[in-house]
Amino acid sequence: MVLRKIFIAVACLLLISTGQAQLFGAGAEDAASKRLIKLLSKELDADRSEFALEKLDEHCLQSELIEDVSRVYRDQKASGFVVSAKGKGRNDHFNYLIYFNEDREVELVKVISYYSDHGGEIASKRWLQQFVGYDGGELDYGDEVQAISGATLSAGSIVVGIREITILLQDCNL
Amino acid sequence: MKKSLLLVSMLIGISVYFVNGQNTAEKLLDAEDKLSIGGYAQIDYNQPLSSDVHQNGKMDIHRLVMMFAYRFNERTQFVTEIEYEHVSEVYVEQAFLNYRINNWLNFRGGLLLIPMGIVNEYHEPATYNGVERPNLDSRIVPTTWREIGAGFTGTFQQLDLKYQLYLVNGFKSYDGGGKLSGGNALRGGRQKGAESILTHPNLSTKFDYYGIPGLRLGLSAYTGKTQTSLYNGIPKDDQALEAMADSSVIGLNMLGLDARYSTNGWVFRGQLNYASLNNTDEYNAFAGKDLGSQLFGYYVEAGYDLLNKQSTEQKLVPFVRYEKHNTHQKVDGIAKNLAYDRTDITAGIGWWMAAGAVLKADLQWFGNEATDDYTKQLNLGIGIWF
Repeated sequence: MVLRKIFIAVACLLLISTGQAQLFGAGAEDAASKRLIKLLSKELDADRSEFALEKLDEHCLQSELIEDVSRVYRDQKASGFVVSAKGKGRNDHFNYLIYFNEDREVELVKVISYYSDHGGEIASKRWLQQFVGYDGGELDYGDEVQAISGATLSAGSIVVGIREITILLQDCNL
Repeated sequence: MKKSLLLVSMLIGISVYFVNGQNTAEKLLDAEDKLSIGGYAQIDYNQPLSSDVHQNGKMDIHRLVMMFAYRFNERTQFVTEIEYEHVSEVYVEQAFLNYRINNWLNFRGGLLLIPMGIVNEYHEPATYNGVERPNLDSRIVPTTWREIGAGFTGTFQQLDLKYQLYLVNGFKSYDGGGKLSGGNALRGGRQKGAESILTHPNLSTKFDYYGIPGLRLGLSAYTGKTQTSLYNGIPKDDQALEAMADSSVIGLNMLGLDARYSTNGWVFRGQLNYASLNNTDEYNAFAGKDLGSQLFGYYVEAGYDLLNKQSTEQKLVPFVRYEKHNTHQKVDGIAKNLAYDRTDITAGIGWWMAAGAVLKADLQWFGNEATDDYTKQLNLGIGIWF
């Protein structure tokens, strides 16, 4: 009897959360930029309508680490870049975004999707906070960047990624 | 009431699914992304040092592990690790299916690592100091401790908290003879998912907090009873045989606390484990063993990266580790064996040529309460991880 109740409760929980996940999941191709805008507006505490994105495909931004780069316009004014990037953890890849200001300094890093559960600690806001203001200088995991136990590979991957992408963006003539 | 709740939530789930179209959320990834390959290995040279007798050194490919992870879709992943131990023994170290419902809820089933302490889960040689794993993680936490089971895991992003909760198979205390002993405690009872027998399910849980940069704190708990072959085939009304089978079962509760902290090149870690075992008196009499009724141990370790200030990914880390562990912390009906009350000291250095490649050298002193002398051992090792 008790087992049955537990089963029912778990089943409810599963069904509800699966539904939610579907509802808030990523959309199709063109919904990708909508999703980026949604994330940006939420993180920057601004209204969604203020933002517009223009996809960039300059050769100087081609990298295995980068999925795509967009120019960000806020109230029709150029206000930085947003990069969707890919990293590698112990068991799987993960996706994150970096938002740069006009000076191409890091304003925000956010882990968007982390498929594997191992190493998911890097999504910690407090940990990602330390990249804010980064402008392409030294960035060694464990030195400039505080280590995160239990997520060595993911953390190492995102640190290398942020550094390379920042340098790439700064050297790119846009 | 419960039924209608189930129905309503099913309807919500299904309708949301259809509103969004069939899995529009699913962005199919490149085939090359679906399969991840990794691995780690540990090649050791252990040389006992003695001024009185000749002793062989031992050179061993202690472990060579291949990891494969395959992602079926955005939510579903299978992870396995195949291990060669001492070259000739083959084990499956992990093999589980993970279904990600959302960040804070993953269903997981299969052969799972029991989350207890640090090294049982994070046992790649590039992640710890010293050629050999801490002895606490052998004598009390029987690393690599894994059993078949299922449960839930996830992270609460806002709280910087990770949890794991699994219902798993437990140690086998009896199968034609007693499997648990005083010196090695639970180690001989690991079933490792190999035709394991189940009589009592066990519960394993761990919480990890990583909200303070550089710090990670863990709290693990494990509770249940051991498995025995003796119930099999007993008529359900045969109380005498049941009572005999009961004598071969041990009740087990284990707690673990662990901490890792790194700052400015310093790395500290520590772990404490306590286990309370029930019915050892009867078990020891029945199986002719000397299993303790309480196990207790801890270690503390400190290291410093000498290349911390250099702009290099290399690390050069001298470290020292102090361990106390006693598998006869308490006994019931037998005499304490002081030789099981051990103190180990390890001091050495590791050179990380890259994050996943390390050369290690250390000296170990092993002591126990039955003697004033320490035995010494030199260890040299190669560790890789990718």
